[in-house]
Amino acid sequence: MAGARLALSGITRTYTRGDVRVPVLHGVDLEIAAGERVSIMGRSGSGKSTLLNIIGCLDAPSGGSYLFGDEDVAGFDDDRLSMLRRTSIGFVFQSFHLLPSLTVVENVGLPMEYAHVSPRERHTRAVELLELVGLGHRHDHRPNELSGGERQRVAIARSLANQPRLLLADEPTGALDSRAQDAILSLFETVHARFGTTMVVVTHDERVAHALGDRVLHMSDGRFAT
Amino acid sequence: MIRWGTEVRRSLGQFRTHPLRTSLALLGMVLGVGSVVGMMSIGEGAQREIVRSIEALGGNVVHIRAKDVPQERLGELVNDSRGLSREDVRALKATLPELGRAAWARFSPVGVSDLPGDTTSVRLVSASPLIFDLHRLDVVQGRALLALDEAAGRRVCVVGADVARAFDGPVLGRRVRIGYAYFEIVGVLGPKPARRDLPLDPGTYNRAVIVPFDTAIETLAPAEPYKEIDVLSIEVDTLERTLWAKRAIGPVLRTLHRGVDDVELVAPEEILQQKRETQSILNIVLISIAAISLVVGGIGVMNIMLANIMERIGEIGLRRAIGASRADIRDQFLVESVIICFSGGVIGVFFGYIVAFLVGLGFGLEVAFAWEATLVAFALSMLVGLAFGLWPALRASSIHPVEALQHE
Ligand SMILES: Nc1ncnc2c1ncn2[C@@H]1O[C@H](COP(=O)(O)OP(=O)(O)O)[C@@H](O)[C@H]1O
Ligand SMILES: [Mg+2]
Repeated sequence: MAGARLALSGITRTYTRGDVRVPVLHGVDLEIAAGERVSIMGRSGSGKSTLLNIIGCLDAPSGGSYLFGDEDVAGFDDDRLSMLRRTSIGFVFQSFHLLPSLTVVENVGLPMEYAHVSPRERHTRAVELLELVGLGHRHDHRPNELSGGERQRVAIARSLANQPRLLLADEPTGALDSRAQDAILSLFETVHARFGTTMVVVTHDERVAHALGDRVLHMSDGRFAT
Repeated sequence: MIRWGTEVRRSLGQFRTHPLRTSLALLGMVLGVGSVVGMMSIGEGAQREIVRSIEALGGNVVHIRAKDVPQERLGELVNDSRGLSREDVRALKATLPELGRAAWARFSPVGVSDLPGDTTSVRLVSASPLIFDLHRLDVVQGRALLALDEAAGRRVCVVGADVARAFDGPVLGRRVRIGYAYFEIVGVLGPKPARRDLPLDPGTYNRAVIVPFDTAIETLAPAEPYKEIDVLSIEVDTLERTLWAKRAIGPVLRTLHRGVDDVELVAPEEILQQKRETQSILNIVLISIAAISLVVGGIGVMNIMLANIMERIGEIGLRRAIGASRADIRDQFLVESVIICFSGGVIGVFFGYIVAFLVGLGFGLEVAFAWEATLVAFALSMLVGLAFGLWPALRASSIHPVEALQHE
């Protein structure tokens, strides 16, 4: 599984709040090589999450072009974007977003349900991924029985479920204490070393940015500072 | 693509997380589906009861009844018509060869005594033996009257269920005095359902003493100049043919009676159609009530689906992020509402049958437990799940993934 090469150019995103148009991204250009790790820093409200959501195909840009691998995804409809997220993109969020009613193993296997993986296969792969993130012994726990750091490791395992070519993380350590933070950072290292996934991480922590980025970009007011 | 196992488990999980809310929605469906099943059972029961009561006097038989003629008009009538008589039977059979077997009966005022209990309402029925076949009289003890009884002028009789019940000890072989002669009881009839709303109430036979027609004329009362018999019943092939028979017989009798309108024809098919019509109006009312309660149940389900969705917006965002399409989200919530409705439906079917059973017991109605009602109830409950789950499901699926993820 190789990482995806990304090329964004002239990406804009304008929100409309009632009648007011609020431009958030003002023409972002960004090229990321396959397997490259990029960190994005910037003040709160500068548009980092907005950009990351567009990169992750959760949101469509208002203008500009976006090549994901060889595909121009800027014009994709909702179904094709969903398909791309399902097959090629893994997300890690600051607040984990684990489903409380499911066990750890079920949470990790969830993306595979949408990819039509059989239950048996799902379980096997989820167990493997849990071993990888060091939670092999916690299969049948519920998320609320885990610490924050453990929850984020489950979330990372889940993001890898469908062998994505692109791994995205929005403030992945934002909710963790510094010890848990270290564990997550080294886990990302392991994952990258193992899978060669392209990674984009949004953070406002300098240390995290440098640990997780071959390249650190600074965003301010909807643009990359040069 | 729907993962039933997962969906069922998730939907049932709703009971654990929101027992009160889910039970209330379920209760709405139970009442809705229950009333559909209950109403259908009661309606179907009424339907069958009509058919049965029609068949209690022979379904494929037309009945010709002599009208009651006031004494003072009798004088002028007898010049033209001799009333209903065995002569009519011969004439009808000659004119309409399609007609089958015929039986006749006369209800005489002759007093019956030596009977225990209240004898005032006992009717003496002088009948040709075929009446047992044509009026579906079941003999539960002894035997029916036979052609031979009539031919030999035997003084034998068969008594109705109520008459027999008044006796202590064995009934067969007893003698009752009718007029000035003694008749031996040779048979006892089973009980007939009383239907006062029918032109010929089968319940009449419960309090009857039936004697052979010819014997009665010989020993009890000679034939009168006018109206030899009160009821003439003629068999045709099927229930439906009774309509035709009624139309064909009417004019023939009118001619035989020289234009005097002194008979009345009863075609079971016609009664059946009239009864069905009344019943179907009642059914529409019942079904409307059931439909309304089903809609109310559906609204309850819609309500909890909306509440569920509001609570699970974060989950929707996450599912979208890991690759669920809008259709996946829509289907997830649709399946959930169908499962809730279907569970309510399953309980509702039992509930409906129990209520119908109790109502039937309490009001003495016949209740039919038709398996069609069960199928209809299951199909309806799923349909309600789809119809009332669709809008919430579409709402859930149209939430923007980013907004859903930001929702707290
Ligand atoms: N759905 C939205 N509607 C309107 N404005 C939004 C919406 N989402 C974000 N914004 C605005 O866009 C700007 C950038 O937000 P965001 O990308 O979340 O910044 P960051 O992640 O860098 O803190 C903020 O000013 C925010 O208020
Ligand atoms: Mg942000």
